[in-house]
Amino acid sequence: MSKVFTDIPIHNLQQVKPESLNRNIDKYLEAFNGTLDGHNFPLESVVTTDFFLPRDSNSLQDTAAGTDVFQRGTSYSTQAYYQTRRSSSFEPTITDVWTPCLTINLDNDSWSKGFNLLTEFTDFEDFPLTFNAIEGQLVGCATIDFEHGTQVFEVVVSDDPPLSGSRSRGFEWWSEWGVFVNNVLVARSGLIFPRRHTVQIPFTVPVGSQQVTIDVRFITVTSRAQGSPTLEVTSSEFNIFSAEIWVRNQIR
Amino acid sequence: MPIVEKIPLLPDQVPSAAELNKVYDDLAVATTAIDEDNGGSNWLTYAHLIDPATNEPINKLYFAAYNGPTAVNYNSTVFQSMVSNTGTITEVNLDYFPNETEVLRLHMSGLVGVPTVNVDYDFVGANLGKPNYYAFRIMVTYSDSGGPDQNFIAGYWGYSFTTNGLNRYDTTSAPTGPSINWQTFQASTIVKYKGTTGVRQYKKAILQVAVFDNSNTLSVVRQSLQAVRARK
Repeated sequence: MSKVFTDIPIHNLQQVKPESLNRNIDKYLEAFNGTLDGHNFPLESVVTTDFFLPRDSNSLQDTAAGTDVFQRGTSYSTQAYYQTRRSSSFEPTITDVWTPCLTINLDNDSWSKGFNLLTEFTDFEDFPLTFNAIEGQLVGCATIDFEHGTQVFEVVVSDDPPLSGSRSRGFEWWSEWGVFVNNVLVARSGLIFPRRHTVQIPFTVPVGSQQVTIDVRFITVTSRAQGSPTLEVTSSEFNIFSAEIWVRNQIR
Repeated sequence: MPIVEKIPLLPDQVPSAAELNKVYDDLAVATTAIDEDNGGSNWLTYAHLIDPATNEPINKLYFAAYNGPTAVNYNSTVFQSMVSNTGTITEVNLDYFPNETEVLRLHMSGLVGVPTVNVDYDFVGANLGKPNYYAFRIMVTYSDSGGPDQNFIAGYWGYSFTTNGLNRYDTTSAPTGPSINWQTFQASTIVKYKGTTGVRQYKKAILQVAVFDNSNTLSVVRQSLQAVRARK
C-alpha cells in the first residue's frame, strides 16, 4: 500500500452514512495494524543507530590465542563476517613472512594429483570455515601466500671427473587454487607458474539458511615427482606462508 | 505492536463523541510505538539505510591510491610505508571508535614494474631461497583511551622476484632467474575488534613493503589501499 488518504471525503452539512465513516477509519487502521511499507516511512525514519550493534556470531566461536587456526565471526543487522586464517606471521608460533608455516615435500609427503585439501596437512585440520549462513549472498575472498617450484638443487653434471652443480627446478610446473563452498568449486585462480605468489580469489555464491563450509584446495603439477636418477639432493617443496578466507554473508 | 480497535458504526446508531474519538485517540497513542510488526514485508529499502546526518551507509569505505605511472623503488629490509613518486604515503585516515566485535575489512593491490634482481637464491643455511622474496603488509595505527599511538599488523603477504625456472638452468652462468615484471599484487583480510566500545580509536591503515635482501630493488608503479568499516 502507499500512503493513506481519506477514502470518502466528508464535507460540511453533509449527511454522513455509517459506511463512510467505517471505510475511512478501516483504511487508516489497516495501515497501522500491519501493512506499513516503504512509502509510509520517510527516508530519515531508519538510521544506522536503529540497528543492533555488532555481536559475536552464534555459529562460529572465536578461537583462543595459541591455536593453529585463527577464526572469527561477527553478526550485524544486515550482514555477518566470518574469517579463518593460518599464517606463519601470526599463528601459533610466530616466525615471519619469510618462513613458511607449511612445507610439503612433493618427493616424500603424501599428496594427490587432484585437488589437495589443506585439512589433510599438519596444523591445517581446523582450517575450513564452517558457520550457519542466513539466506542471502556470500561474498568473500580467499588469500593464499604460497610458493612452488623455485628451489635449486644439486645435480651430477659430470661423471668423470665427478662433478655436481646447482640447477634450478620449476620447469613445466604449475599450480592452481580453488575455493569450495560445501564441496562445490565456486572460484579458481587459474594456472600459476613457479614462483612465490599471493593469490587472491574473490567468490560470491547465493546461499540459503543452512550450514556452510568453505575451504581452499590446490592442484599442483611437478615434473620432479616423476623422478630423476641423477639427483644428489632431492627436494620439491610446496610452501604455504599463509592462507585465509573471509566471507561476508549479506542477509538484507 | 499496537493494535487499534474500532467500534463499528451501524445505521440508525447515534455514536457518542467518545465512541467517535476513541479510534483516533488510540491511533495517536499507537503510532508512537510502531515496531517491526506494523511494517509490511520488504518495506525497507536501501535508501532508508543512509544516515541523513552523515550520509553514511551501513558500510563506510576509505580509499587511498597512487595511480602512477612513475615507478617508486624500495629495497629496505625493514618494512617501510609505500609512497607516491612525490612521497605521499599510501594510507587511509580511519579516525573512528569501533564498537565491540566490529569488523574492519582491508584490501590492498598494486602493480610491480621492473625490479632489479641481484640475488635470488642463497644455496646454504636457513635463508635458503629467501633473498628472492619481497612482501607487503597493512599496518593499523590506533590509540587506546587516548593514549599514545600503537600499531598492529593486519596481514603479511609475499612474492618472489623470479621464478628460478627454465632460464635459470645453470646458476653459475646466470646468477639470477629472469625477474617477474609487471605482475599484480593483491590481498585482503578482516580485523575484528575484541575490546570495549569507545576505548579504541582506529587512526590509520598504512600499506608497507620490504625486501628480504637489500641488494634487490622492488619497483612499484601503482598501489591502492581500501578499508571498509562494517557498521550495521
